[in-house]
Amino acid sequence: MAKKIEGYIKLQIPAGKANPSPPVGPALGQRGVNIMEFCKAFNAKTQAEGDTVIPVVITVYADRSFTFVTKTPPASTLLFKACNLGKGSSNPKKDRVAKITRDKIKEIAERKLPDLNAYDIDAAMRIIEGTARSCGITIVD
Amino acid sequence: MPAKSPAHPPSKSWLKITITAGETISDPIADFVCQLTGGVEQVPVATANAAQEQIVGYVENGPHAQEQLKRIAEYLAELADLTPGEGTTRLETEIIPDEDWNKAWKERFKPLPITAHLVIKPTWESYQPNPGEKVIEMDPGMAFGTGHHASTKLALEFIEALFHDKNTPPKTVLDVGTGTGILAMAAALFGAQEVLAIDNDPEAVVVAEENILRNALQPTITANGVALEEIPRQFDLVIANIIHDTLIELAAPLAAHLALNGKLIMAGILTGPQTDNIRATYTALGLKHLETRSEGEWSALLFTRP
Repeated sequence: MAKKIEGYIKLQIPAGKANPSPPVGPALGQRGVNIMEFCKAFNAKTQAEGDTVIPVVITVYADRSFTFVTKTPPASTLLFKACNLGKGSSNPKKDRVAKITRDKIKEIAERKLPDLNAYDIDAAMRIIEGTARSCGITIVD
Repeated sequence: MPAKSPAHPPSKSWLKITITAGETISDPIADFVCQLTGGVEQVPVATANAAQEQIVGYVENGPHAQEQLKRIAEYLAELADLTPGEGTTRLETEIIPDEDWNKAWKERFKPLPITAHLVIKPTWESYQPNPGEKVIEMDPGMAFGTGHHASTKLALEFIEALFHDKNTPPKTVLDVGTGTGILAMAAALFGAQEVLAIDNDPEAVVVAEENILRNALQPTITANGVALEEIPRQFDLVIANIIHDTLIELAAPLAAHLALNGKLIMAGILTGPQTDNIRATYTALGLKHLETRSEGEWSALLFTRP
């Protein structure tokens, strides 16, 4: 519906826990999207994903109707899971919080490939390696 | 005497944190802010020289807000050291009052008189119809066709006019790409005896079925995901509010489902070359163009099979 599309809203929210508080309420409300309808549909679709943060892209049509697609979890979430970490370092330069092997990086890159700006697995791995370094995770062979 | 509570307790507010950063490093920033605040919005920013993104997170404007803000600022400084050459990131804050965003959204939708005899009413509003007026109860949601778009309105105007023509009102109706089911429901309310509403999007079929039930029109309307080519019959009225490209693609099967002297309403077409192309394509299939209606950049066309 090329011309009937008004725009897109990109959010990252925890699986199964969307509610009308920020950021969902203000983001959807100002574009006229039915907030409760989105929350219900998103929560129903993602409730089995546990505590994972889910990126979601909402397409808003010119008459305020909408559809949405969920994406693969953020690279950092997958990295922390692979390293059994709760979260990354807020001082990634000083605190190297964990180590990860290149094989694991490849696994994550393969999973993220459909959603990354990368044409092949090598480019995808470089993006994931960059994210790993920015979270304080050291890459080992 | 118990202490009196203050007349105006301090109202809740939010600290809105907006970070503008280059696209290549916006994902790790979004992840970090998301862990801290529980969710973020990512907004692309068009700039002359680089693709940037705004990452928007909110924290309750309470005792811990400044501490969380400090952690984000520290993280951004670290990240800048780690990724030289990615440009500067900008951190901005704003205090916004808490509000019931859902209520504010609802207040934007009131009963909408969409044509002379049809009103679209959200479920939370009450409405007393005038004599001769029909009401569809429906909320904007996950299917196209809320009534808030010119293409829907133009199609509804044609439907209303056809059913108000006492000589040959259509009895059977096929609505292709029904979305919310709004056009099918209007046809049923205006007097159609049998309506088939189809959509290739399974979510739209679910929404249409809910709306049909809510408006008690299930004896007249059937909604399903069956393909146009698989429907082995013709109808007095065929409606298709889709888009130009799809209407061209479906030209032969749409025309084939039109009974002799039947009417075809098409909408979702941009005024200008698209309208001309639809007219030429369907005329070549043996249909006769009767009327074009336009509103702003949108047009709807009415054909018949002579």
